[in-house]
Amino acid sequence: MRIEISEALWLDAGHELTLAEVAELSGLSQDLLRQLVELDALSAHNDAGTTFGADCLDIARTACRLHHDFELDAGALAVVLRLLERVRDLEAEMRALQARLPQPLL
Amino acid sequence: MKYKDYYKVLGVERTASADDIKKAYRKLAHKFHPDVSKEKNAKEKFQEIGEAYETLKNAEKRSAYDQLGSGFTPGQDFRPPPDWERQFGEGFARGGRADNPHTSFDEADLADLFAGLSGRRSGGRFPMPGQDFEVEARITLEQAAHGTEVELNLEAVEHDDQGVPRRVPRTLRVRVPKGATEGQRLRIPGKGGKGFDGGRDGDLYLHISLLPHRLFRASGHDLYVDLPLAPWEAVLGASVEVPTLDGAVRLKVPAGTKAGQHLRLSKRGLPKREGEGDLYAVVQIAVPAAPSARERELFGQLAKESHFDPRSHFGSTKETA
Repeated sequence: MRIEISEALWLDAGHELTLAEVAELSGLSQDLLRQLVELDALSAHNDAGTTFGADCLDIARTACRLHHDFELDAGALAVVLRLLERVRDLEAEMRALQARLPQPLL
Repeated sequence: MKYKDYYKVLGVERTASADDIKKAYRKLAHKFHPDVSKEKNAKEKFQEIGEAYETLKNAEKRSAYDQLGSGFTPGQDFRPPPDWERQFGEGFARGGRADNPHTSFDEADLADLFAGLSGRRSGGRFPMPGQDFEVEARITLEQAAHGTEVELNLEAVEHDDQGVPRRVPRTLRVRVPKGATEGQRLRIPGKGGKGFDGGRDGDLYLHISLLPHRLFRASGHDLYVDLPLAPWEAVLGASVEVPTLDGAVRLKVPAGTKAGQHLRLSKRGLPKREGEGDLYAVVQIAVPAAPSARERELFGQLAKESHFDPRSHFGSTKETA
């Protein structure tokens, strides 16, 4: 059986998505996305809040799951997303410190 | 079709009120939600909990589920009673046709059937997007550095001509471009579940994580490798061979190098989309575990003649009366 090879797209700030695209791909409504931008839980690329870096898609999809599974409103979502971001930053810092630490000599 | 005991999954009685079901779900969701939980198998566990709650929180679905009966054990192969199929069959099949309401559910998954019930029985077909997949891909540092292909075995929900959902195994090969590192997210558009009735196909999201390496530790796109030096190499300086992902290179160790210092090898880390990370050699001072008689003699001579005091910054440690 021939298996087709699929190309992957980077989800990073260099690739831009519109508000409508983020809404479609994340499952969040445009209204809730706008509220999350106002609450600084999501960063838009422009002042109008209509374009985003593709890296925000991961945050938006997490927000959608939390919104659906815990019935969180925009305010609660913003708090949880900020705390999750801090956890991610701390985990990355811990990995960086562990990488810098020499291992015991054999 | 395999039976699942949704009440047991949520830890409630079959007679539980809607409020009790919600409370039980919330308690379990706080513990196992994969976005906030560090529990082992949180993703699989939450999937079961979410599936049970999605059915039991909805009065229509709960009633249909209850009418399946309770005399089955979880995982047991079962077939819904004929009158159940007559009553609910049309509603469970996506856009089930009135002229053919008797559809075989043998290969269907209970969750997929109930997912399709709500709002459908009032009639009408409407576009339904395919399921998105989130999959973790664990790759080696060498694969991250040079790019790689990963093979993924997934189970996608697809609908037959009658609109009955069923799980179909799929194998995908995805090219991971070079430059990915720990925590990188990639999107493969249209490679999730198939959409239905004009709905778009779902996407596949790949979460990259790096497997531990024998020599190197990664931090972002930078790499770290321990560099043991003999005491005389650290004091006098040396030219030593250091491994990199693309083979060994020579590194000039300056005289007077101390343990714990980081010596940078520019652009020898993981590639980025533009440029490369660096490789840091973390200096360790190694001593011979079993020095020969001659080595002991030479170290002894050095100890006698050297005025070096590595602990001078402690100051005087004599106790005062």
